[in-house]
Amino acid sequence: MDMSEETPQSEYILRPMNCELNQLSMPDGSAMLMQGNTAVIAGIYGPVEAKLQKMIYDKASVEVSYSPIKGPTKVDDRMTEMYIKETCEAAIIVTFHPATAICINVQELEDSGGMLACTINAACLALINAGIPMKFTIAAINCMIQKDSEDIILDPDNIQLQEAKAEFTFAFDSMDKNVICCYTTGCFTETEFLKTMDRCKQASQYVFDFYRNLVKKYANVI
Amino acid sequence: MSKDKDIIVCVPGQRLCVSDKFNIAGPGTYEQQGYIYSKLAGVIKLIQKENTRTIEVHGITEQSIVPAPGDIVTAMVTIVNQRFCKCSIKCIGDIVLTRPYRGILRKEDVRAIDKDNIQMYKSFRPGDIILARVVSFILSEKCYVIIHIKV
Repeated sequence: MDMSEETPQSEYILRPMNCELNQLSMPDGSAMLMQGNTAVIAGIYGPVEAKLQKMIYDKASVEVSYSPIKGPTKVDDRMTEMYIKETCEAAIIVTFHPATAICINVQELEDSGGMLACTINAACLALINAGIPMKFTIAAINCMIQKDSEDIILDPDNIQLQEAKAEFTFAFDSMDKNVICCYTTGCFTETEFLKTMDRCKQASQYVFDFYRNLVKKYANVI
Repeated sequence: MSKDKDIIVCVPGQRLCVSDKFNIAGPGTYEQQGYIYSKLAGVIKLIQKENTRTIEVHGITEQSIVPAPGDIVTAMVTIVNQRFCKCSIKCIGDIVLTRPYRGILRKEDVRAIDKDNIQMYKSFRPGDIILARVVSFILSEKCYVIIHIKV
């Protein structure tokens, strides 16, 4: 991994990641992912017969359902669903299964910061586990800029996020490290945005390495 | 050579090799901009032939399959009508599906000869297991058109 000289390697380290595949028996693929104390479980059903109103005759339609810990889905949860849908649609080879549906169900287990990044990563791992043909894998990284010091902190938790001036979530593809999706909140300059994007891009290699090690582990078991 | 060195594991989007006359993209891979990439997470298999090499990726989990035109399917009759009967596709070839797909067997597709004298109620009844070939997919009916194969 390319590291710039002025940035020590320790600054790219994310919260510890743990994952269990095939946790659920009913879906075609499932993944339970923990990034620090943030935990989600994702299940994939597909390719299945699509509902008539949602069917696309020349490609597969991607449906996402996101459930929070408690209560019904809110507007923010609909936004999370949209981000997961658009990101996964970019990765999946949708023309491979025309007139079918790929259903992604995500259940939030615990939110300790970086929930959107965790859900995207969990959905990607579940897609890998389900054997859905993909153009590339996706790594989502969450980061923030501190109010006073204006330092960039990668993968912050809830306590650190209280002192955030701006929060960013970037999703990168594994082929060219291009930005697939970007979600931002707060105030920031263009320079800060580009700096955080570059930092997240370099940190995404940790997530891709995690995917590879996980696949290797399961391949050896099989 | 140890077991770990024998297997080469790949993830989706991983560049495997250059696509040329010698290297051919097989199942589990796709070709883009002169290179062969993996589209599944799994183990790479190289199938050597006379002067070509096929690159295949075998997934760590079995893939869900969808009926395609030309596939031989095993279906169960669910509803019988005067004009057609509705079926539930259970198997594609010798692979049992994780979930069924809907199929429709029209009166004119029951047999090749004497099509005018076919009586659907006398030919099929709910619960019958039939062997059929997938012809096409009807978007409006949202089901697969199948032709009965006489066993």
